[in-house]
Amino acid sequence: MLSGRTGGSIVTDTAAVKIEQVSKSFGSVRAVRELDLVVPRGCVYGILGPNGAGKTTAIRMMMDIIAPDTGRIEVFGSDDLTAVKARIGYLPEERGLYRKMRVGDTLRYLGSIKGMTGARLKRLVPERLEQVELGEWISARVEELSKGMQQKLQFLAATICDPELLILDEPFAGLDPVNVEVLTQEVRRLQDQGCTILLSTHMMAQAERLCDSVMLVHQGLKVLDGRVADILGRYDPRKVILQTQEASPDVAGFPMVEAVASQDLCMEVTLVEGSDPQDLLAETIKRYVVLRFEIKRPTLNEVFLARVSEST
Amino acid sequence: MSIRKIVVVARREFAETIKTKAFLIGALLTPVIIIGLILFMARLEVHKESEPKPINLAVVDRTGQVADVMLKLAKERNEREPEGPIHVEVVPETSDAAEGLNRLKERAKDKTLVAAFYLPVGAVEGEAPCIVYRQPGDLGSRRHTAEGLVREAIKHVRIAKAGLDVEQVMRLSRGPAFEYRDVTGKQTKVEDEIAHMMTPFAFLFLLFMGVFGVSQGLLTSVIEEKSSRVVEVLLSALSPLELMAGKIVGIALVGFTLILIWATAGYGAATWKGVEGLVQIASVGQFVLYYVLGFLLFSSMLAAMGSACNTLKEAQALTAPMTIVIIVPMVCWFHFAQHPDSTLSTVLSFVPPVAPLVMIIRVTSSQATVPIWQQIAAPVWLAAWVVVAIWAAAKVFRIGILLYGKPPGLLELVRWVRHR
Repeated sequence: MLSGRTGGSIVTDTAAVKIEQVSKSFGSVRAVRELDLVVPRGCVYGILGPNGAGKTTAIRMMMDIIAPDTGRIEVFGSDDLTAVKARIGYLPEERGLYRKMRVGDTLRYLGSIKGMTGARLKRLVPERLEQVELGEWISARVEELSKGMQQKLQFLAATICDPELLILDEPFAGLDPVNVEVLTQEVRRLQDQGCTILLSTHMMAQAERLCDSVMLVHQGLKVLDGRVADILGRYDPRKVILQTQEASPDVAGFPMVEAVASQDLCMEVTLVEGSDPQDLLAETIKRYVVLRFEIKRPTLNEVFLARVSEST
Repeated sequence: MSIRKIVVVARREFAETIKTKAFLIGALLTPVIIIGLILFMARLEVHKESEPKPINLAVVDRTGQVADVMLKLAKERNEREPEGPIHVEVVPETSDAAEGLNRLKERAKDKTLVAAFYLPVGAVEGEAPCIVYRQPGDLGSRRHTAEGLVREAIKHVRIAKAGLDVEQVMRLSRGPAFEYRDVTGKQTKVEDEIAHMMTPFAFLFLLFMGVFGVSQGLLTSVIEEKSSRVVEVLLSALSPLELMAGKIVGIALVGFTLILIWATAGYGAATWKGVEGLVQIASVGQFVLYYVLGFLLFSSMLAAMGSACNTLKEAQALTAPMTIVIIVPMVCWFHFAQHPDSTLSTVLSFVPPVAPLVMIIRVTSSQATVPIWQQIAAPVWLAAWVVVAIWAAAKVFRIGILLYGKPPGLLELVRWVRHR
């Protein structure tokens, strides 16, 4: 645990983001309810949940764009969020650029308001544009770029200040599979450079692949959080994909089997809670020739649905 | 609040605005129109002086005494002033008065006639009015000359009927000549009086365009940033107050640039016409003071209203009441210029939305005798309102800038201001 002082406020923690009991309502709508969150430095952290779960509101409060009704938010151990804005890169869900502004001017302007000097921007802007193959577009107006190019420019604008914390709100929305992969690689690269990445998404599969830790939110409430591996490990693998040489093996009568569903050449077997998949394998081998036996891990999506149904 | 960030926003706002077509048109076309109008009017003046038109008039004289005198007086005048001669056409009299009137009415339809006069029996004695048929919308001096001729002819007949010496009486009754000078002793003309009268309007026009016209650009800019969704990126680096302040400063500088261009063109035109002395340094100082205060007041209100709207149309509906109020000084400027000490002028000098415009008329008016306490109290009072407006606007801006959907009404905006 470190302590110190940043921008006149007391530094109490080394977590990139720490949120304690934060709530926010808009009229009668409670967007975020008693939220607690700790984002360790250097990780890729996902805030997951369906549309309207309160992800964007939580992020806007972290960015000091809107103020929480109650609770406390610290970024890099400081509760003076204005003082740390220059250390944060932000790609909002609703992305926009000045259509008439030139590409180079756009990056220089957005870098300037982050506190970057003119000399540094003069060097960095052409360099970064070259890296994403937009070098020759530096003098073009933003409206002349294709949608994909504009998305690259928006990502560059969020990262031009070499942020220590990068917040991406629904970064995969509207991207084609190729650009999803490009973005994933870029996030990994930034993480390798020591940047903490906080992203929100409703695309669970992407988050599962990319995030070290996640928080699942539903209707403004945290459903669960933790490391992805730990969360998935917490849930018993109760589904098994089974294929035997015999077309229709009779496994439904086994004591450890709760249900069986046919799937083309194989079947999906749901085990009774607490059963060991190895018992099913042993029992099946005794009677049939096993061609395929695969323990199906639960996905984050399944975990989320399970937790939501438990809590309602 | 970071001054550096405000400067960065202001610089972008200024740089991007002066590159727009609207700015270039406003900056270049307005002086061209001003100079063009002056040239046009000067040309008309030259035309009037070089080629005076003849004054044609017709008369039916039922008195039987006036027409001959009119012919005589016209002849004398034409010998004295051969340019723009008076031609009197005496329409033959008939025994039937109605018939005479009809013939004159027909004759009056001739566009070359300045006026047609029907002089009934009793006109000399003043018992019956003279009927004048004139071209519709004609307010020109030629008609006045024609009427003057009839008036003088009737006087001649009256004096002669009284048995007096016409020449002597006319000489004695002639009014004295006046020569007009200003307080410095310089001889002045009627044109100078008009220029004096128009000076407050010129200042009012510059202030109105500089404050209200230019601050509309701020409204557009806020709505553009909101509708293009770039505002959230900006707010991740700036506070709403820094963003609003930067935009106001940037657009204010655009206004200053425009005013500088217009004022230079206006001063050039004034110098050319020899009336540059009408612009006093003190007036320029007052103008700068009221421009700064007026711009801060309007632009902060417009920025707040713009932040609450999604389209320019919505914003125009929301700002309509303010637009109507601001038109008042434009409509009533003549009253404020001619009566700077009236109760209405004094009261409106302390009503925030119109105060800058009313005060600039009052202090630049040639009739100006604005008490010194008002010259101090009005800007101080206005400055206090500017502080309140910026505070309220910042509260509305912070809430409105991220809200989409149905725009709020004025009452809803008040609730936002009162929100803690």
